[in-house]
Amino acid sequence: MSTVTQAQEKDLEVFSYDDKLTKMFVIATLIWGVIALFLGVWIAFELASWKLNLDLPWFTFGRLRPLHTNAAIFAFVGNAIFAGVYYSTQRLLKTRMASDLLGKIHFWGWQIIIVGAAITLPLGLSQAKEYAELEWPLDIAVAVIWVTFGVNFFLTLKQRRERHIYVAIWFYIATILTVALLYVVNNLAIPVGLMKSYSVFAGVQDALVQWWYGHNAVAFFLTTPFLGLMYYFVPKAINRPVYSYRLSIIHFWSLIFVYIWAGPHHLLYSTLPEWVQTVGMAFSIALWAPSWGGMINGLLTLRGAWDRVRKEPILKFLATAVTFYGMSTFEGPLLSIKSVNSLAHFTDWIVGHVHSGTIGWNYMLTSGMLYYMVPKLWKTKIWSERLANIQFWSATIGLLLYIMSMWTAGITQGLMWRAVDETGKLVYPNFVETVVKIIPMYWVRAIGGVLVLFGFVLLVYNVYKTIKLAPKEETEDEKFKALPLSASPLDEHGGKHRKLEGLPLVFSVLAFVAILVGSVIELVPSLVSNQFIVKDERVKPYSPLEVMGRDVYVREGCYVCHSQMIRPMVAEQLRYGKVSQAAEYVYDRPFQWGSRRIGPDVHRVGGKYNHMWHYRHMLNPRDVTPGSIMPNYPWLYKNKIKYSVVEKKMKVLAALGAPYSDDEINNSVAAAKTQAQSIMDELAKDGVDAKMINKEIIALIAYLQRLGTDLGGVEDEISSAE
Amino acid sequence: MKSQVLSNFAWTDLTVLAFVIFLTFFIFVVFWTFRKGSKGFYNDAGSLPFDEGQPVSQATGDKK
Repeated sequence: MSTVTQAQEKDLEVFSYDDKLTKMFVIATLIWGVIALFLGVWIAFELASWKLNLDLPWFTFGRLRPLHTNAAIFAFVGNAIFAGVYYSTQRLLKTRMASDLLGKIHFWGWQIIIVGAAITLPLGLSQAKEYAELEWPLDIAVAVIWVTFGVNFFLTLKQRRERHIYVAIWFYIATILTVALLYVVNNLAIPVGLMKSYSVFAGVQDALVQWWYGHNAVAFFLTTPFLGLMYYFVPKAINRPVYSYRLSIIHFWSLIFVYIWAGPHHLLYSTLPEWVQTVGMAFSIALWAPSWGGMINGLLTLRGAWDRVRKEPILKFLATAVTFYGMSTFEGPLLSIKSVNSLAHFTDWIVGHVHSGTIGWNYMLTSGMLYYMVPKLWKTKIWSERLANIQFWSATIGLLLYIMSMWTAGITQGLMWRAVDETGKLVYPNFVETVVKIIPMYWVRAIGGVLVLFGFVLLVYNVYKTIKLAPKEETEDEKFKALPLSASPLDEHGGKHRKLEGLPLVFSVLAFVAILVGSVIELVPSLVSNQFIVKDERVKPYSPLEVMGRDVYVREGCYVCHSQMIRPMVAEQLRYGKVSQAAEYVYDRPFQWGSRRIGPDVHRVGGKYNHMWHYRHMLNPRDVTPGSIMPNYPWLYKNKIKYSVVEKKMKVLAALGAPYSDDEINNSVAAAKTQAQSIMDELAKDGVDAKMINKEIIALIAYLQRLGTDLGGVEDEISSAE
Repeated sequence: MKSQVLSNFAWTDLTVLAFVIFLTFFIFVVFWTFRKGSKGFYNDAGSLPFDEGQPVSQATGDKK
């Protein structure tokens, strides 16, 4: 915004942009994008046809689904964010990134973490908290690399040549600060080994912290950085300023302030304190306003140029992205309304909603951004606009198939779950009936996914050809000139606004306070006070063997398909048993409430079936439940229980508050073996080989049979009904 | 002391508190952005993406 006079001409500083770093992140985005989308397609087909789980541990849905979500969020979208942030930040601040070295560390560190995730998650090394599955060594690496990125970013802000900090940068600042806070707090855990840890939070409190994180991972990883990118790339692509800069400011402040509160909408009707649920719901609905303010601002930037949107692929992608941002931020608040949520929660409607955000908003915006950046970075033109158009239509049709099939599946299944006839009985008492019904929709969704993936492969090919087309002779970075920051002193234009928006440190503190207000008010009371979790002496900590079994449950990612939360609704009580209570989860590290019931809730499964049922079920679920789409788990019948770590696990759990006596800890191995023997004795009566006693399946059965029995076991349910 | 304070504290007050804090904050932001004499400033700010510095060699410039 500075006009250079003759006198100032001599003060001009010469600099260049570190586009090499941007290019590296562009390539990484393309590679991980293909992998993340492919994983999504693969697991979509696994749901349509269970045989694709291949009877191999590393390929089961429970382990690959976390890999898909982590790859999509942190690898694909993450690298896209970094590419866009490095490209736009340098240009908006008229400076090179402060350190090329920190940039390189950021790049390679991030890629190594992703590779680490791709190895550990299929191995079942997981914290079993959604989008926070990575175990503690990788968590530390993420924190370190994120700080590296943040330090480089803030140093760059310091050496900028533009006084005013454009709104896109604000969104980046909010992202850097908030993600750091969320990630560190949610992953606080005590290690019990190189790749295993127990969360410092348990049960209800763990759930609250997790969904504060989980929702804000969506907010501050998939949304705020992309809004920053929108505010930069949409104006650049259409070559005109954003429709209303003022609206973008209101958008920013109200969005970050409101977003941080919305997490509890993932826990409606759970045992979370009622007031937290209410606050979460209210703020989720309030989110409508800033989200749509932002969407309208983005779309109106294109006003009067819709003829170009029709012709130019970049604009098509960007306009569609902003539209889907609007659609999914309309759907989100709708789903947060308790009565709507009671139907939609645990169903595929939520899955459809998430993908309208990730594919509609993140994938589309990333594609538009790449088509804009790549020709600029490599100083050439897009190789084929036609191919870009084909990608656009393939992805759009794929996305629509995805969303509509998931709406259909979700609402169908939700209605079937709650259907009660006039005699007060469930219309579909067998859960599997509601699964079989929606399998056709799983095929439609998988085909939709293939179209989205196909589109992305076209993008990769198109970029590859574009880069090959690029002139090779370039050896040196392009040079630019601009006045130093000192040429536009803070008080030049007088106003206070200039000060605030020109002082990154003060600004960052204020933004941090904005996200802290919601976090503190919502989290702290429930964390410091046990008032909400009425202790019940009947609830006892897990036995050593149950601890081992629970860790198998965690490792296999059972939470991906099974919830452990019976909501206070008639149909749920009829189907699953007594409503869950907060006191029952106090020893759950991590909590395993789940967010999707691809299979039935298991919170009261303890005692519901005999040991033999579970034994046969895990070996081949169709043996006891015809039509089941659950994978087989043959390796649980081969892997031995690792008795060597039992005592250590007990010690850590005791340190975290489980009331195990020293005797119990010292004798934990013997106790575990005794319990295994009693389970084995019963199984042996049904003809199971006695050699199975030391296999993981025994520990898992011990855990499953314990679930929900402390309060409201089957007998209890009958007596309370009388 | 702490337990006494907590036992006398209705947690629903936090819901109201949250709302009041947000409303105040929001009204402030709106007034702030629409304060007098800020129009020119914001118009300038909105055009920031179009100033990437002067290319040293004009031939390779980013100007459209």
